[in-house]
Amino acid sequence: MLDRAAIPRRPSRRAVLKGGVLGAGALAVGVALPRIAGAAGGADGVVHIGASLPLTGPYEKVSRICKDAFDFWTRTYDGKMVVAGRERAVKWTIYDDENNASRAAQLTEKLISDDKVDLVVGTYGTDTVLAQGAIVRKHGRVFVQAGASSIRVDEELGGHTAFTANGRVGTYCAGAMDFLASRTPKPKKLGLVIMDDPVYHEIGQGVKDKCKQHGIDVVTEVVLPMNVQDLRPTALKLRGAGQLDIVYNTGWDVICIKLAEEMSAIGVNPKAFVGGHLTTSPVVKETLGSKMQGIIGSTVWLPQFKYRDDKYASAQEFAEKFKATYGYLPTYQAAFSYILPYIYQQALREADPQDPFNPKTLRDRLSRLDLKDTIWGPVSFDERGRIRRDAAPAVQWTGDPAAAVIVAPADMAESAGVYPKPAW
Amino acid sequence: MEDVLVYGLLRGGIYALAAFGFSLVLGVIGIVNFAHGALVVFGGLLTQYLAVKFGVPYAAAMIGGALGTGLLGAVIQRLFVARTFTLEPLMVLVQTFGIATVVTELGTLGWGSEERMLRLKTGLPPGFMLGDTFVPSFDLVVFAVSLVSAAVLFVVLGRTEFGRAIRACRDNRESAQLSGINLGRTFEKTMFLSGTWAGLAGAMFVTLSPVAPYMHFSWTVDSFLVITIGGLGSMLGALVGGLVFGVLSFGASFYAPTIAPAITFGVLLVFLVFRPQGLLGAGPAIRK
Repeated sequence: MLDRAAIPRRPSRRAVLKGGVLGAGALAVGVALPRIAGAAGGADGVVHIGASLPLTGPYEKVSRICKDAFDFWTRTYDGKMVVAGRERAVKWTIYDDENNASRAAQLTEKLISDDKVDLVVGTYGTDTVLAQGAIVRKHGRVFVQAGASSIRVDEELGGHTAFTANGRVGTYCAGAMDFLASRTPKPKKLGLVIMDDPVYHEIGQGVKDKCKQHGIDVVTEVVLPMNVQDLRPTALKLRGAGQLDIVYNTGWDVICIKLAEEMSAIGVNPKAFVGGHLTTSPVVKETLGSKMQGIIGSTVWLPQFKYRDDKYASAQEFAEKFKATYGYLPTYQAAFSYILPYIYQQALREADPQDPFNPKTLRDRLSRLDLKDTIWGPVSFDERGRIRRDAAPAVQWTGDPAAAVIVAPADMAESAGVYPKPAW
Repeated sequence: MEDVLVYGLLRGGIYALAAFGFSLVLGVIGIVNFAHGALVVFGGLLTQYLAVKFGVPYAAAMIGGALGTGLLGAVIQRLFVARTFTLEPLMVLVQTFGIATVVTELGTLGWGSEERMLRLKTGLPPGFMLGDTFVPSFDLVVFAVSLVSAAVLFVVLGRTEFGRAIRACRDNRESAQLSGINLGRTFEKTMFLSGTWAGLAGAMFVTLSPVAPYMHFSWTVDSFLVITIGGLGSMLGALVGGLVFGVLSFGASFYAPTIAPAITFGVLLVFLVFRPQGLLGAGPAIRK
C-alpha cells in the first residue's frame, strides 16, 4: 500500500509565494542593513579608518612597526577621534597587501566600496601606494600617506589625491652630504652604490646633486639588482676606484651590513661610510658591532629630535611609552605611521558636522593644515601635497658601545662628528 | 681579473658545500629537494642561536647546527618524502616546496624574520696577499673546511658500508633490496647526510654574511645551478660545479652587476641544452 505520508509533499503555490516574499524581504534587509549602519557610522559616533600594509613579504618587519604605531595612536587617544567637534570611536580595518600593487588596489577598492571606510591611510612602498592612490582617485577621495617618498607620488597623485607626510627621497642624503662637505680636509672622491629601482635611483640622484653642489667627484657608481646577494664584487669595485673619501650606500639595512662587512674583509677603508636611510634599523648595530664606529646614516626621525605634541612632552617620552607598550624603540616608520591618523584628527577637528568626511572640504583642510608641534615635527603641505621638509638629518655612531648622535643639520647637532672615521 | 678568480673560488667553496646534499638526494632518492635551501638557512640560524644564546664555542655550535639540520632532514624524509617519493616528480617537487615554506615559517616564528650574523674573534691576522689579491684569513678557513668536508664525504660514500648501501640504492634499488639493504633506512640516512652538509654550509656562511629565513630560496636555486654545471648526482661534480659557479657568479656580479642573474641563468640554459649531464655527470638525470 502506498504510504502517502512518506512522499514529500509539493509545496503549494501560496507557500512558494509566501516564502519568496519573505526571502526577498530578508535579502533586502540584509543588503540594506550594513549600508544603513555604514551611513550611520560616520554620523553615529564611529570613525572607520581603512588601511592595507605589506604584512607578509620583504616589508613584513616594517609593516608590523606601522601597525603597532596605528595601534599606539589609538591607545594614546583612548580609541577616540575628535571629528567636527565631537568625540567618536575609532574603528580600524587593516588588510595585508603582500607588497603587491594589484592586491593593494583591490583591497583599497574593498575598503572604500564594501567596508565603507571614512578615511584611508597609505600603505608602505612606492608601487603599492601608487596603486592604492589610483583607486582613491577613482572614487574622488583623498588619503594621507608616508610610506612612499618617491617624487612619482607627487607627479601622479600629489595635492589632489595624496598628501605625503614624508620628505622626498631625493633629500634623504642632504644632512649627511652637507655635514661631510663641511669637514676638513674636504672630501673629494665619492663611491656611490645604487639599487636598481626608481626610488633608489632618486636617492642616488640626490647624492649626485649634492656632490655637484659641493664639488665632490663621483668617481665610481655601482648599480646593483634588487635581489643582490653577494656584496664582495661591489667592495672590489670600490677598491678598484682608488682611495675613496666617501662611500654612500642608497640601499637598505641588509645592504649596509653586507657592504660594511665586505669592505672590511678586503681592506676598503673610506674616510666616511654613509649607510643609507635604514642605518638606524636595530639589526645594523646588532650585526656590525664595533664596526659601527663612525658610520653615518640619514634618518627622518629619532627620539632625540626636539618634537612634541598635545600628548607627549617630547619625542623621547613618546619613544619610551611606545617601547613600554611594544617592547622596542620606535623607528621613523613608527613615528610617521603614528602621525597619519593624527593629521586626519587635526584636519577634521572642526569639520562640517553635516558631512565631515566630504573629500573636497577634507582636501582643502589638509592643504591649509599648519601644525607646529607634532611628534613628527612641523606638518604642512605644499601645492603637491608634500610635507614641507628639505633635508633628512644625519646621525653618526660613536662611543663604546657605539650610539647614534645627530651631527647635522647644525641647529639639531648633538656632536661635532668624526671625520675621517676609524678604520674597520 | 686575478681578484675575481680568487674571490670567486673562495665563495665557490661554500656553494659546493651547500650543493653536496642537494646532489646526494637527487642522485640517491631521485627527488629535487626544494627544501634544501631552507635546511642551509636553518643550519646557519641554529648555529648562531647556539653560539649567541647559550654561549657555545663556535666549533661546537657549528657541529650542533650541522647535526641538528641533519636530524631535521631525516625527520622530513621519514614523515613526508618517504610516503611520496615514488609519485609523480611534480608532486614531490610541490611537497618539498611546501616543506620549505613550513620550515621557513617555523624558523620565522622561532627566530624572527630579521637577518642574523655570527661575529667571530678568531685571533687570525686579517689576511695575506696572494699576488696582488688580499685574501681574508677567515675566507680561507671556510674554503679549507669546505674542501676537508668534501673529502670526508667522499670517504664516507666511497669507503664505508653506509656509503656502499647508498651507492647501491642509487645504482639499482631492486638489487639493493634483494641484497638486504633497507631502502627506507638508507634514504633516511641519505637525507641526514644531506641535511648535515647543508647545515654545515649555513653554519659557515652565517659567519661571513647575514642569514634570515626568507633567504632559503636563493640557496636552493644556487645549489640547483651548481649541480647543473657540475653534474647531476655527482659529488665531484658538485665540488667542481661549486667552484665554477662561484667564479661565474662573482665575475657576473663584478663586470655586469645589473644583469648578473641573467648571465648565471644563461649559463644554466647553455648547459641544459649542450651538456645536460653537466661537467662531470655520467648522463642526464633520469628518474629511476
